[in-house]
Amino acid sequence: MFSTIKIIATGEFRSLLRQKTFSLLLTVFLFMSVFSAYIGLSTKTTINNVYNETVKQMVAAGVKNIPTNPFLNAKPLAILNNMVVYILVIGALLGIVVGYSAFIRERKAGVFKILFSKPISKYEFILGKMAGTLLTMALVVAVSFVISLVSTSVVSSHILSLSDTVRLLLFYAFSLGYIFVFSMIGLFFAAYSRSESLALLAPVVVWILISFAIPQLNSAVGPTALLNPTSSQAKLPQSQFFTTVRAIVHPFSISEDFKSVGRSLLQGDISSYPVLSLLMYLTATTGGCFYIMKKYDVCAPESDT
Amino acid sequence: MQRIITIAKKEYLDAIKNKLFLVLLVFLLVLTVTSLVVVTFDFPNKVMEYNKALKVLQNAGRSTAALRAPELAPLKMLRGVIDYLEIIGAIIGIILGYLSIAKEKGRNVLQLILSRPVSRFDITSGKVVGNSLLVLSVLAGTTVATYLIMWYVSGQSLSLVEMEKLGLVYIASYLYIMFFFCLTSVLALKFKTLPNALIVSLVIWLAFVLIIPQVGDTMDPDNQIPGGFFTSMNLTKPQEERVMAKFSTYEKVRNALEESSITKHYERLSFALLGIKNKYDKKPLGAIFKDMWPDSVWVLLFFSAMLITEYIVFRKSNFMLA
Repeated sequence: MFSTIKIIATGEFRSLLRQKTFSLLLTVFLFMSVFSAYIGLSTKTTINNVYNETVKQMVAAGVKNIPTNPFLNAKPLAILNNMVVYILVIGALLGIVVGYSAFIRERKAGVFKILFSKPISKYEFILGKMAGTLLTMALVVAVSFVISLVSTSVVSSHILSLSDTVRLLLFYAFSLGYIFVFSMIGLFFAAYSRSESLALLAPVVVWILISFAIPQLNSAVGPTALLNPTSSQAKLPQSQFFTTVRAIVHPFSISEDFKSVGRSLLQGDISSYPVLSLLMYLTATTGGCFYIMKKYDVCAPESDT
Repeated sequence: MQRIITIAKKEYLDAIKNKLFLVLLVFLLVLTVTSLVVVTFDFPNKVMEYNKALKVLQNAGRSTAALRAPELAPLKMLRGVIDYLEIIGAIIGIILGYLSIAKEKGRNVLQLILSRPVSRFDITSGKVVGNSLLVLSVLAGTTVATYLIMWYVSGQSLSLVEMEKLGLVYIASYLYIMFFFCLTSVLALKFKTLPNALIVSLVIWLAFVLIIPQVGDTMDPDNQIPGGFFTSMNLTKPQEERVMAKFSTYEKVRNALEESSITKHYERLSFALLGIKNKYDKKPLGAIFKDMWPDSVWVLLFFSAMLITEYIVFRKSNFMLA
């Protein structure tokens, strides 16, 4: 059983690495890893200069109670703040495309009829696909981790401390789990939908729901404002309506939980590690993939688009 | 002309029968309603926060001029709707553009159509006109739904000027969605493997709609802490402008980055017309366009450039069977 899963997983891993669209998304993701550090540094430098200039003008105007610089004690990893948003956005899309590609390729090529005439069970097949997908995502996340580690060390002019390195490692481990959830959603719809376009766009709709609609109900923050890393620091409305809605939607707010974990690990200004929603999504999506594979009709006709 | 109308009609009917399009349409309407409901229920919180801030400033003997009382203005409530049009409206444009080409390219029907006395110009025009009507219908549906909710929630009907402003946002939204329609049509025509065209469209969507505006937004010094950096320093707008004048190069780079995205132009124009940007609240159209004409021109240019590209690519595409 394990050798079959291993063969499928290795095949999946190699096949994904050869795909142009995967390479494109990977390049975008890795570029954003570097860019994130650059933006973080540039913004940090500017905001400190803006603070100094503000103080200068306030002193000239005779103001005595000058607030302290809110960025004075920022942690070295805080310059990677934007990475949280890039994983929410690019990482999730990368996951969807990888999950979708993992299933659609064989389906389009009509391999299933031959494949399942061999002594391979549907469970071995889907487990192999999941393992291959996870391996590919792990490689992407590992490269991103190395880029972040190097760029943060270069920016702060010293090697990151062990505790910061562990924090960064934990952040990327959590990110891997988050991206994997979306690759499972991509895989689920690739097996569920007969239309290729529907198979690709349905997970994007689910992603919009998870990333924008649920958090908006949770925090009343507008969809695009949610992409600002400071949105997770906004005060939550406490009216009856929002507390009731929050109680219902919060367990499904994986993106908000991801932001909290990211903020705790990178900025270190809070210590909140809500991992329950991630575990719940991981269970639901992998379970969904097993279920859909069990129900999958190998002989059903394909749609054109 | 008759041929264009026939193709346009078929495009329209094909799209409204498509399950994915219908799902996206319902999704857009549900989110539009959700965002309006959220704004309505969040209003008492905003009033409470305002009163708290007012009290703090009054107790400290400081000026309260910088504080703006929240108001449940109908047009301002549309901020979430614009946000969702930016995100899902663009995806509707992408899916319509993709389906418009894929349904014929995938079945090799285009070769058959082109063997009849129908020019490539007729086909492209028919597709653009049919989908334009569909996008306008979607926007009309969204506008009617939001109008009814706004009227129910705030009890106010829109004035003629507000209707004009809403109409202009409606036109800007059409141009914005059709930009993504044309973009995806071009990619679907160019790519041999159709789903790859869809993936690349989504990557471009991601860059234009989410990444570029996000990068510009997070580079804004005022956006570094909730509530705004300058507010936390108790600075007035003129003082803030004096400080930022020293960082004009940084601001120029940030602005140039934001301006490379059609989404940001569409957002700026819509926010100004709807009065979401306080500076333009209750201002006449002339005053708004005095400042916002570059954004209007950019939205139009992005759309026109992509429309022309679609005509050129369709004209030059080789549809012969391999």
